[in-house]
Amino acid sequence: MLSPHEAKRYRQTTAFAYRMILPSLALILVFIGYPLLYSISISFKEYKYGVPTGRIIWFKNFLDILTKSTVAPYFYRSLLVTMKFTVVAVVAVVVISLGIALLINERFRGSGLVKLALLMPYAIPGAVNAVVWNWIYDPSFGVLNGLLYKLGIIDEYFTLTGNPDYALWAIVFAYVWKFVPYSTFLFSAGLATMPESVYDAARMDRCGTIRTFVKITLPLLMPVLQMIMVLQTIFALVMHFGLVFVLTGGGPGDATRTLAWYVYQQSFTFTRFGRGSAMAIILALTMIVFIYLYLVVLDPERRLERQRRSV
Amino acid sequence: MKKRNLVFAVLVAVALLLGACAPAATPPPAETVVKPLGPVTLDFTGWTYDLEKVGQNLAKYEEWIAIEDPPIEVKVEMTDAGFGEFDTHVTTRYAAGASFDVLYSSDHWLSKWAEAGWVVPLEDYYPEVRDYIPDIASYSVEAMTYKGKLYGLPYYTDVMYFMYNTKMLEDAGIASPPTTWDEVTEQAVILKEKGITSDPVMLGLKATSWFEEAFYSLVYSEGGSFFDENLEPVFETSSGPVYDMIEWVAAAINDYGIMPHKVLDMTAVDVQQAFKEGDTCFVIVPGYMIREFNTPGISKVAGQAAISMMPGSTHETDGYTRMYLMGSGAVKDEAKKLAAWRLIEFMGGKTTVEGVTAYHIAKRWAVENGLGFSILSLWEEPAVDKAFSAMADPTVMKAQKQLARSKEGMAAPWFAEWISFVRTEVQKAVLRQEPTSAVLELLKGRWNELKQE
Repeated sequence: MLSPHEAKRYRQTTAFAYRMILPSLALILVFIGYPLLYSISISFKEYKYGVPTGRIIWFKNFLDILTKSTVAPYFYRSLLVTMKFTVVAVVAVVVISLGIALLINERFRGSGLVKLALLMPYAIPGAVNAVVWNWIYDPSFGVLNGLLYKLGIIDEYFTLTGNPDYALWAIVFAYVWKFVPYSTFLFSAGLATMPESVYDAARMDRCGTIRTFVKITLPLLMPVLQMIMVLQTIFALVMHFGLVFVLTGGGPGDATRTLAWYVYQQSFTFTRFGRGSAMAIILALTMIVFIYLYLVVLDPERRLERQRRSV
Repeated sequence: MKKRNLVFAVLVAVALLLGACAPAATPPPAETVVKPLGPVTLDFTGWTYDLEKVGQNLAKYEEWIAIEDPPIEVKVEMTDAGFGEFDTHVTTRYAAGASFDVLYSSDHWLSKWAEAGWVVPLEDYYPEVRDYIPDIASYSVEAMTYKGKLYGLPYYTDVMYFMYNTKMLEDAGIASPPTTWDEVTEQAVILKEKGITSDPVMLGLKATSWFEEAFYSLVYSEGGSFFDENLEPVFETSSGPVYDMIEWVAAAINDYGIMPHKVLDMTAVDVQQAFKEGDTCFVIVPGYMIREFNTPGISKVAGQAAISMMPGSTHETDGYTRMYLMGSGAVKDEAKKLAAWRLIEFMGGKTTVEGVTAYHIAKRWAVENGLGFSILSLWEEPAVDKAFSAMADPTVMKAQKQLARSKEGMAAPWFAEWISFVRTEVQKAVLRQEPTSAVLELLKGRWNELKQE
C-alpha cells in the first residue's frame, strides 16, 4: 500500500513517462496506426476498376478470397508458396547466422574487419539487392553460370529463375544472403553476454563441444532466439517482395507467386484495392499466429515450467 | 537695324505660333503586349527511354508555347518509371488521391485508366483532335479510342517483327528465312545440329510486360482471334491458332530444344540483348530494335540482322501503340488544360515551329531513334524514308505493318487483369504443368467471369 506521498510520486513519474513517449506514439499513430485503420476500412469497401463504388460490403472481400472460385484457389496456392518460403528462409537464416555468430565470437586477428564485411549484405537496400541477384542469376550473362561453367560443373548455361522447380529456392538464397548478417549480430550480442564461469564449469566437468552447445549455450540464448525467430518470420513473410518483383514477377507459372506478390497484383495490377487490403490483413493475421506460436513455444518461463513438469 | 530686328522678331513669333498650332506628332503605337496565361506547372510522366531527348523536347515545348497564340508560361515537371513498373507507378499516384496532367500510356492500359477516370477523352475538350484521324493508321486510332472517344495522340507505334541472323542461315546452308512455323522448327533444328547456335529461337515470355506482344503475334500469324466485336471470346480450346501456337512453343522448348527454358525469364529487351550477342537466330521483337541489331559497336552481329514476314498462314502480327494522354489533373484549370493539350499536340501532333509545320517530335523519334510511328504522312518525309530504308528492307516493313492488328480485348477495362492471368497460365501450359486445352478453358472462363462482374 503506497503512502499518499509515494502515490503522488508514482503518478508524476508515470505522467512524465507518458509525456516522454508521446512524440514516438504520435509518429506510430500517424505512420502505422492511420494507414492500418485506413487499410482495414478499404477492405470493407467495394472497388471497381480502381474507383470506390461507395458500397460497404463488410466481409465480402474476405469471403471472396477464401471461397470464390476465381480467387480462392490462387490465394491458397500463394499461401502455400509463402509458407514454403518462410519456413525454409527462417530456418536457414537462424541456423547460418547462429553458426557464423559462434565462429566470430572467438577473438582472432582481423575479427573486427570480418564483422564489418559480414554487415555489407544487410546494408545494401532491398531493391539493389534484388537487381544484383538478377545479374548474378542471369541465364545468359550471369556470374553464377559463368563460374560454374568455368569450373566445369555445368556444360551449358541454365536458368534458375525461369525454372519452376528452382525459382523459389533462388529467391530464398538471395533473401537469406541479405538477412543473415542482422541475425548474426543479434546472436553475437547474445553470446557476448554469456557468463564465462558457466563455460569454465562445463570445461572442468569435461563437457564436450556439442553437449555444451545444447545444454548451456542454446538455453541461455533462448530469449535472443525467440526474438530473432519473431523478427525473421515477419521479415520473411513480406520482405521478399522486392526479390519476386525483380527476379520472377511471380512466375514461372505461379511458382513464386507469394501472398505478398498476390496482394500487390490485386491492388496495383487489377486495381481491386478492397480485395488487396483484405488479403493484406489476412497476411498480417498469419504473422500474428506465427508470433503467438513462438511466444508460447519458445517462452523461457513456459519452457522451464514444462521441464519441471516432465521431471 | 530696328526694322531688321522687328522683322526677325515677327518671323520668330510666327514660327513659334505655327509650332504651337501644329498638331502634336503622333507618338509611335505602343507594342501590343499580350500577357501570357499561367504560370502553369504541368505534371508529366513517362517511362524511362532516352530521357535526355525527352528533356530537350520538353524544353523546346516550353519555349514554343511561350510565344504561341495564346502564349502560356509553362514549366513541365517530368517523373519517370521503368516500363514494366509504369502501370503501378500511375496506379499508385491516383490511388493516393493525386493525379497527372499529361502521361504516356500503352494501348493495353487505356481502358483501365479511362474507366477509372484517371485519363480524359481529348475530343471532349478539344474536338479538333479528331482532325488527325485520317492521317493515323487505323489500328492505332482503334488503340487510342475507348467507348468511341479518342483519348490521345501517338507517341510511338510499332509492330512485332520476325527477325533473323542472315549469317547463321548462310553458315547452315539455308537459302531463305522460314515462312511457316514448321519451317522455323526445321531450320532451328538444323542450326542446333550444326552447332551454329544452341538456342536458335527466342521469345520474351517472362510473365511481365512484352509477354502479350509476343503471344498475340504468334496467334495472329496463324489468323487467330481472341474476341469478337462484342468482346465475346471466340478462341477454341482444343484446336485452332491459339491452341496450336501454345503447343508449338511447348514443343520448341520441351521436345525439340530449339528454344531454351530461360525464355520464361526473358523480356523482349533480354531477347534483344541475346540477339546482339549472337546467341540466337530467330526472334520476335519490336521493330525499333533492328536499328541496334545492325549498329557496329553495340551489336556483335551488326550487318547480319534482317526482317522477314512473320511466319504463319496469314503473316499477321501484333501492332501496338504507345500514346500521350491527358490526365484528370489537367482539366481542373483552364490554362493548365490548354497547356496540357498543346503539349500533347506538340509531342504527338503537327505544329508550326520556326515557320515549319510538321510532326516535329514524331519525326525526330523516327529519324534519330528508329522508333515506329502510325502517322501515315510521315512516310513521305525523305529523312524518315531514308532512316527506315537503312534499317531494313522497307518493302517488308511496310507489308508487315499493313498486316498488323491491335490486341483484341484491350477495349475491356478488365483486360489488364485478364492478361496477367493469361501470362501465368500460358506459362504453365508451355511448361506442360497443365494441358493446353485446360488452360484455354480457364482463360475463357476467367474472361466471362470478369465480364459479368
